[in-house]
Amino acid sequence: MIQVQHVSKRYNKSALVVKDVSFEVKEGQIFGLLGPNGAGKTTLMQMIATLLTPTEGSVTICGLESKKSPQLIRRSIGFLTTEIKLDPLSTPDQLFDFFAELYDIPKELIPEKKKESFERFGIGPFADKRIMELSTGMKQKISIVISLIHDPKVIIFDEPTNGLDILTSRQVMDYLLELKALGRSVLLSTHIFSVAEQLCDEIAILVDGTIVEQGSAPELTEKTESKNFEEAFFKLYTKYHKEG
Amino acid sequence: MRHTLTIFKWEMKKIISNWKRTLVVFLMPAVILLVALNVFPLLINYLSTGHLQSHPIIVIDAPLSFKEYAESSAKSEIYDYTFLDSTEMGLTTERKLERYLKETLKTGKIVVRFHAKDPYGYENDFDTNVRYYYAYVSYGKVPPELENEIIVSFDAGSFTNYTQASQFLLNIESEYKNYLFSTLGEMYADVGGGDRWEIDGFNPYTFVLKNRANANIGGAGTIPGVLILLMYYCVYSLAGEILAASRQSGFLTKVYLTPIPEVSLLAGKMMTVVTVSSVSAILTYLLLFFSSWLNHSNSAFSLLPFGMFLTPVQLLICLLTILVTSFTMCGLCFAIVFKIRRMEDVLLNLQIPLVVLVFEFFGMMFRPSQGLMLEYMIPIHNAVMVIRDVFLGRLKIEHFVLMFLINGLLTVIFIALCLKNTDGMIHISQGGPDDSGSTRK
Repeated sequence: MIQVQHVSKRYNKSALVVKDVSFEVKEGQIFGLLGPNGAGKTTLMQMIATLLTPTEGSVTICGLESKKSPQLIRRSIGFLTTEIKLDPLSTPDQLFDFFAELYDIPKELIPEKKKESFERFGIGPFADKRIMELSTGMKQKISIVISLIHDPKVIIFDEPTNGLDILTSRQVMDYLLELKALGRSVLLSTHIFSVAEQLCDEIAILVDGTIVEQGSAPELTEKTESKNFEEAFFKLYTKYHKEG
Repeated sequence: MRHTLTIFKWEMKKIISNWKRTLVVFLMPAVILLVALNVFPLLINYLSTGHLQSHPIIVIDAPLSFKEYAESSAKSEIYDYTFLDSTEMGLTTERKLERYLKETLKTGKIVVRFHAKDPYGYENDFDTNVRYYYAYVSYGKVPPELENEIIVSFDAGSFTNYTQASQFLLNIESEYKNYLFSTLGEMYADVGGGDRWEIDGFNPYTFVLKNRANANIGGAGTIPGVLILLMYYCVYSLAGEILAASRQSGFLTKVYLTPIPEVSLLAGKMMTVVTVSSVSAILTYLLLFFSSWLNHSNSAFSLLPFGMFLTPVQLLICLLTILVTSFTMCGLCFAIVFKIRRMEDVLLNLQIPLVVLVFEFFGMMFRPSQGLMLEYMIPIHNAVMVIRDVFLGRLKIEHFVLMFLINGLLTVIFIALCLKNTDGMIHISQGGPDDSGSTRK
């Protein structure tokens, strides 16, 4: 579903932020990018989501190359990040209608789809309230609904549980597993070990813009001869991180 | 096109549903400037005469004709008359009168005295003398010399009093003479003397034409500058709101991630800005237009004289100029927003043209000369020049075409720059370049 091949990214004349990264996310798989802040996770996610163009290499989603057909790729992906805020003066109801129109969802299908999505996340009672009046958790739920309004095959979540309370985090994680069960490919970035361990079929450890190791959580633990996944990560980080 | 309309409808709905913002963007700047334009002449009036609007004038022994004239004349509205009778006040001798004048003039007031010598031997007053004069000439007789006097006394040492008295004489002299002719000179007019009737005096079109020459020249000094200045204010506020702030919050990125073409997104936003700014400019014009027609006092210092009027063709030219300039301004603001990431820098850069346009506004208010050919080639300034020429009734079509082409071409360049740099729509978060442009590590 997602193929990242030798991707590098450089901003203006600065050093490479992402260096020769390659991996593949299969259908019905949850793939995690784990790394500290500044490791290049977000830049990598933004390149995959067609927001940024790779300096080198290519990203292919559902057989389409991101540089050549960004518009078509956008029909197949749902991108969610806590960095992207919803319009504070609009209501969930208005936002749903607006994005449904942008994604060319037939008008007659919108009310039913809206009802279903709002019920799934308990947004219904807040449908006519302004975003600015809602809690962080509720905003995140609305963001998820809006991002997946077009039922995408590929879901890209950048730090999906960032800033959420434990209840909402749990709800989001359960939803990701549900999407996996439906055969969707999920790529998520996180710096929370428990999220990566519990959700991801495969994890890539990103240090200073490079994937230093890749595999499932038990595989990585075994490879590094560690007691647990957390220790495995720190061993890899200490080994590959260049000071300064 | 469908997606462009979706974006346009969404942005318009947001603007209209927030009435406070709508009020600020559409009306407040125009109303504030309108107030400023009306306060400015009052201030000049105060500085030159010592009074805000009505000048206090003491009129001694005013004839009935003057009292009636003062009640009916629009120009008299700017004077606050006090009518006194010299006999009742005990000003029977020259000495008493002199003493009274000395004391009154010290207070900054102007004293106007009516005096009539009787050449006919019938103890006539001011009005009767005028009536007799016209009666003589209507019978073809040579009348005795009319010795009616209007004596205006003021403190000559005071500049403000001097200005006030000069303005009074200027306003009153010609108008009151005409009034005397039309009321007391009836007999002379009836036998065919003089020019009693004004041609088409009852025709509202003639009335408009009579006033518009002066009014449009007055309006040419202020209106083009105000229109363009307020329009830029509107464009820059909206560009900051619907593009820069939307990008800052990341909402624009969310819209960008939908499968709509970037050009549709840009066009939808642009349509919103152009629509709102053009409507704002039209509302400003209407406010100024009504302000002119409500300016009955027509003070000498008025920046919007009474009777401003543009023909439909002139209005159409102004509207086209506003539209094309609005696109140029919008393109400029969008290009700035696309190029600069940090919100504070965006706002600072968007404000630079605003400052330039404020200077332009004051410059245009007092510039006497005709426009140079070069001026019609300076984008946005050429729109001010074209609207100014429309008001002055001397627009050359080649100047309009030149303005249209230059501003249109510049808009295309700005749009091309924006489309070349669509990354400018995206919110760059943690991993990307930080606010100062360097990569965060």
